[in-house]
Amino acid sequence: MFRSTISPGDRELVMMVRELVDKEIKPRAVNYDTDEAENFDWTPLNLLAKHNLVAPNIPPEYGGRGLGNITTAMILEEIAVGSAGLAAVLLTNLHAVSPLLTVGSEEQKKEILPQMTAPSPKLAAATIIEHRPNLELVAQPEAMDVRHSSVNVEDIKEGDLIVKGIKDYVMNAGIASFIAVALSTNPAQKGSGLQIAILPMDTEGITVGAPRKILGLRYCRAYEVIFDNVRVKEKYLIGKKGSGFLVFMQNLDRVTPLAAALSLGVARAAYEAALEASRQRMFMGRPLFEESAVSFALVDMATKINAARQSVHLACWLMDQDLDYSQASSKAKIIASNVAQEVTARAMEIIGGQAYLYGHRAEIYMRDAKMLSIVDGSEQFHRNLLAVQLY
Amino acid sequence: MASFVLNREEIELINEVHELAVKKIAPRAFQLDAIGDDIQDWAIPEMLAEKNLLAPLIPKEYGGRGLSMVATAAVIEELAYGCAGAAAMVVQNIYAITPLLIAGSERQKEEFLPLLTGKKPKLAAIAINEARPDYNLERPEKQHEELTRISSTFAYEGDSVIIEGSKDYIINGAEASFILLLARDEDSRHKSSLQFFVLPGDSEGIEIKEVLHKMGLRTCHTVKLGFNKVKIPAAYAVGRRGSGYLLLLQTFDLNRTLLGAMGVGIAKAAYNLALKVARNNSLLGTSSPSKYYVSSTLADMSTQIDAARLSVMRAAYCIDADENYARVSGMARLYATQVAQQVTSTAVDVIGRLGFLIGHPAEKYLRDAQMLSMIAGSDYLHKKVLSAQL
Repeated sequence: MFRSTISPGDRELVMMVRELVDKEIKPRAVNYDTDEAENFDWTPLNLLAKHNLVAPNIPPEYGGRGLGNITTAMILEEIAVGSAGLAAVLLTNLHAVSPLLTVGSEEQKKEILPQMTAPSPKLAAATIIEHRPNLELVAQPEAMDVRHSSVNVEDIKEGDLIVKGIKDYVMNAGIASFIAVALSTNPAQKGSGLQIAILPMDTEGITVGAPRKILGLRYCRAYEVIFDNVRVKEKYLIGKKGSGFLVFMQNLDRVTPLAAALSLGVARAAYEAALEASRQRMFMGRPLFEESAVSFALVDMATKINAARQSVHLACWLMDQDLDYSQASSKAKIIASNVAQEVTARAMEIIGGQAYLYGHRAEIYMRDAKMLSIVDGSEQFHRNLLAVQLY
Repeated sequence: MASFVLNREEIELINEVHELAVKKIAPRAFQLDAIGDDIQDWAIPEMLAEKNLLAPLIPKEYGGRGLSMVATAAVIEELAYGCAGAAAMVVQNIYAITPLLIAGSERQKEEFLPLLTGKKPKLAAIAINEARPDYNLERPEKQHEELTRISSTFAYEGDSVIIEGSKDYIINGAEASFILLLARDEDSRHKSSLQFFVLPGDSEGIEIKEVLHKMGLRTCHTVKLGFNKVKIPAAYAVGRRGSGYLLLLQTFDLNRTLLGAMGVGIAKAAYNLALKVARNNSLLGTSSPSKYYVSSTLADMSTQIDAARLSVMRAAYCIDADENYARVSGMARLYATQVAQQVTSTAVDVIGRLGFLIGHPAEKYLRDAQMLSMIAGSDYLHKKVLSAQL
């Protein structure tokens, strides 16, 4: 329904991406699902950059395509059908760029955005999760709180901030040219002490650790990033003083539906794989599909994916119309990642034994779907956001 | 979102329907639900007729409101918010007029459609399900549900048609002013011999064989009808000869969207009730585990309801835009029914003991939602149809 609101040109673009993914990305998706390789494989990113799809929602005046949110969500869904890890790289990039688009100054946009739309892409990393020195399960040393960052401002020199601290699970950090980070200007203040900054990765004092081993979305590698007396120039601070928490939450809401679009892509890929397998696998001399237990499970999968997609598109549409989208985007995330986990698990059952082999695409889908329920605000986090807004 | 698919007038109408459903229909419905479904009660049809809502899809030239499918779905949702039985009555009317709207002759339309748009409340019914012998639970016969296993027959006799058979599960059947009936040619069992007829409700030979007592949707009177050599003019055959099967499928494809809308309405009612109870018991917020549990459950419910409503709206939108709607309408119906059943049952959990008592609204919502997977084609049938379209 919301799909009908996008222009014919955008629709063609989505179809083009579908073909591209089918030909170039899907066949190699298994290779991307590894965090073992020493060198990062830039091929798919270069391919997308050639079509200017690395950050498709950057406005045309900075060299981007200036796509609306529905089209962006559809494109991410198509890419996630091929490889969710690749789509997650783009998503993290969008997450880092988003504050710049909403509250960044003209100079900041002019400096950074055109680099992301160039034919050889530069990416950005977003730091969200705090470094926890002690993962004690029984007694957490302190409550997790998004209103407080572990990267602290130690000193102020001529308007520039000197920061120190560690962030963990920073996606894209090893391959990014920029990094968006929330700084704590005053540990005593919680929300109002936050400040968002986006700085070049080669700033002196930023060290990136080795990639962490992760469950899914392995193409999108996660690192530990250490800020050791990094001098953050004033021109890289985004938004007004003290606006950090609001900017953070606003951008979380803006990126969440796009993260949900990734879940849709994974769910669709798993559903299609299961449908194909059910037509080919034989059971008692008949295709598996003719068993109503199997075909009904497939019907349920299609039904749920359809419902989740409408929720995601609603949130995107509300954003495009500049209406209140915060609840809709939390709902989109919850339902999409829920559906993705369920569908990918069912798909494994339908595909059967071979799906359990390491490196089978169904198994990759399941791990990716689980990862997606955690990145960009876990399902629980969004449930919490909704729960406090119950009216 | 509403402003994207509905215009201002329609939104006003839907607000009106909401008022009507909550303030007038719901109180009456709870009474009727307690009394049982022995008789056809006319109080609710009267309220609907006053606002010309008995079949809001009827085009303006026949006196109807001429609403789009999206607006109709929204109206049904609001009615079901007040009482699912009232919504079922309207949905049954719409099922009955759909074959006429698609394939009826101008004369048939002029004769029958205005009946449902007057100030005097009248109802219509569609008779498809055959009356079959009781299921034996211990030794279930091999009975696959098939829409096309029609055993009621018609035979031409000069200028008139004789109809013979008996039909089951007919909502509005007892007092319908006209009945759409699906029958097969006397000498053929082939699908292409099926044919719809429109029978005036007062034709001789129509007999109420049994009044059905249902678990839910008790505000809509449901009966089993016998047709003993009912004689009607041959001009009352709907559509071309042998078009029955196609008409039947189209009728189902179009209108199951509305069943989805009913599911959304019931789910919303149950959700709002649970929310109110949680608020009154100070169970909202996230400051303690029990509060967090209740609040996040409610958050999940509202997430699912939103998704179900969007599925229904998408199907209705596709119907209005004349896109391919068969698949999306089936998905909308399945998903909304599932959500309604889940949400109503969770709502009873949130409400606690009170919710289990007969007469509590939550318990009525639960029963009504369960009925949704049985009327107008079971979940099984719809999944079967959908799986052929994957």
